[in-house]
Amino acid sequence: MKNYKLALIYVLTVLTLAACNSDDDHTITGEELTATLPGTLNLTLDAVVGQEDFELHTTYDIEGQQLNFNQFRYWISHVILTDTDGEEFSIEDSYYLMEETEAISIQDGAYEYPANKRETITLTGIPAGSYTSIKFAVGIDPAYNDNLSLQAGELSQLNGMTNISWMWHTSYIFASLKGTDTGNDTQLQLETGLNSSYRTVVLTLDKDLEIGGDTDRNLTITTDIAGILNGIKVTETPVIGASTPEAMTTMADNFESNTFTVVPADEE
Amino acid sequence: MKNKRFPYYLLYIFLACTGCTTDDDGIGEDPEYTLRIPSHFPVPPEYPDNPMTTAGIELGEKLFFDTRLSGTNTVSCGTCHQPRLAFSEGSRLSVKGVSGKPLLRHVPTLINMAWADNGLFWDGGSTNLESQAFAPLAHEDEMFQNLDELITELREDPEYVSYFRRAFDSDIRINQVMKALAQYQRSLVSADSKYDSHIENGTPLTAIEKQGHQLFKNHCATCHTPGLFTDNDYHNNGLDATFGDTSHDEIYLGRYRVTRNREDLGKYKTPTLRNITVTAPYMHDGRFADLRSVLDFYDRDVQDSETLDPALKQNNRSGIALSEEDKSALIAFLHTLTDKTYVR
Ligand code: HEC
Ligand code: HEC
Repeated sequence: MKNYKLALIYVLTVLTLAACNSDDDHTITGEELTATLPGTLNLTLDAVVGQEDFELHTTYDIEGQQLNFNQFRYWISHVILTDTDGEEFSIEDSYYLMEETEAISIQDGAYEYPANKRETITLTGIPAGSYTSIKFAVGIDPAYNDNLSLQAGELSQLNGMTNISWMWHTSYIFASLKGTDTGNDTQLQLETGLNSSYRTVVLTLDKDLEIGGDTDRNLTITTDIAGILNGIKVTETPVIGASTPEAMTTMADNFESNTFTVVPADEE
Repeated sequence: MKNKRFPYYLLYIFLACTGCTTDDDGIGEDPEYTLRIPSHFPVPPEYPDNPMTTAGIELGEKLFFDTRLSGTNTVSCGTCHQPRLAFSEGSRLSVKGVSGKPLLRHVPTLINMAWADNGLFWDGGSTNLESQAFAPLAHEDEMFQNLDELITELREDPEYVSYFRRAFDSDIRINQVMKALAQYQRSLVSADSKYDSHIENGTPLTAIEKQGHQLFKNHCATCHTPGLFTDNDYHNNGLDATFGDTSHDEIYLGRYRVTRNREDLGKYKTPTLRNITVTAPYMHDGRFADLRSVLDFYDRDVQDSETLDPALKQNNRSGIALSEEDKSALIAFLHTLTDKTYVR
């Protein structure tokens, strides 16, 4: 008797949990069933420099500057998809660290973060539907940025993207580009952070994206490093961060408007 | 019989609800802790993300005094924040960190931290205790701890395992280390000085203490506001006339480093004056050895600059005119702020 009741509770709970993600309440026919199940989107943020693919340890001409990078990392968060009816679907706990980096010494050498390349994130449980645009933030929202003890998504203090290196600021680094200006042989450390650098990016898709059912869908967006550095003269500011608020704002603004482009669906 | 049946649908609703939320860590079974709020204190802010529990505070206290929190296993938070000095350290610029190099700022007290809701550190560069602790833990001249390693070390200690279970109903994670440290520091309430019993119970002050109290109300209370004896705000009290040293990530520019607003050049957070008799030396760089020197400074050496606080620029002069008798009276009053139950 007891077992039967527990089983019933289990079934009801599973059904309810499934219902958490779906807002359709009309009766579903057999054929409709698979099509209306939540689907998966593989979102790729492909780092590029203008028309070229981005690679570490390669010198690029950016605004007449000869730049070579060994680290490119940034947080994206609060990913939201909007469907043809204008309904928004927010991916829960969406904090992702995108990166292409050689091994990083953390805390002045206390330990090492391994070399890594990560450009794709898999978004699951997206309600079946036809989506027209994607929205995400570059950086961490103030609630989480101001309180490093709150845990969500991939947020971590162990990967060198907290500004422990910015003495006495205790919050996240939003984006970090490191390397060399080979023209002058100067080290570059170009970073954004602090709540004032938080930016939201909205991108309209060239073609409605049908998500749902068993087939994963792909969406590629390019992240243009030349765009991030639009208007930035690294000879003037080889180090960008909290103490160079103007250059940091330029970088943050560039993330909002000059960096991300949707790759048309048929060119993927 | 019917009435005795357990309402299973309630359990179902409960399960369904917890299923939909994604709150990461719970609080343990421990009852919530009620922070003591002295009657003459303002209402403290709430910390809904980190409710205080007895188990959380106990765990935080254990962590605070545990040298395993440092890379060399020799330095704890309590090495620099010593209870017998009202959680300050006693030297101008501490060399007690793992590198032995002098720190760039004087170690402040930790008193009534639950009320400190307008930034931490002398310039307010950190927003809350939950984030702040990462700075000393990671800094190479303080504790220089590998955070991954710390978690491994703590997990090897069965006592910690059960403490974290009780406090957070979870295994050991770095964010809970932060939360526990924050809970412990917020539980540190100092409100049992002679001054407090004067305000709360009418315990009489001596004539000279009374005189000092009056002078204090006239000249000091706008910034060192009773009952916390700080307004939790930032002021330039005239220690320096110019701010040209931009070394060390502009740490010598005061609050400006954080806000990038020129009006904040040379401003620092008003320190509480509670337990001030045991927390010498004084100011963000520990430049004054005793209270007499502080008062001589307020009387004679306040430096004028664009950001000098208007309260210290009155009657066509910088600073506060104080006779030697005034100074003695003020010092007598400041002695009434020492809380013997706090300073252990
Ligand atoms: C080596 C000495 C040292 C150690 C160890 C140390 N601190 Fe500190 N602490 C300082 C100094 C110096 C400051 C002031 C820094 C500043 O304002 O720029 C400070 C400031 C603080 C503040 C800010 C107080 C306020 O009113 O703004 C808090 C809170 C604090 N420490 C807590 C801790 C905790 C928790 C630990 C252990 C994890 C710790 N400290 C370990 C030296 C130390
Ligand atoms: C305009 C606001 C203001 C006024 C008025 C003021 N103070 Fe201060 N006081 C401060 C600030 C800000 C600091 C910290 C300055 C620093 O370290 O850079 C401070 C520091 C101190 C300290 C050192 C505390 C410590 O822990 O290091 C003492 C003692 C003190 N004040 C006493 C007094 C007395 C007594 C008076 C009245 C005669 C007074 N202050 C008036 C703002 C003020």
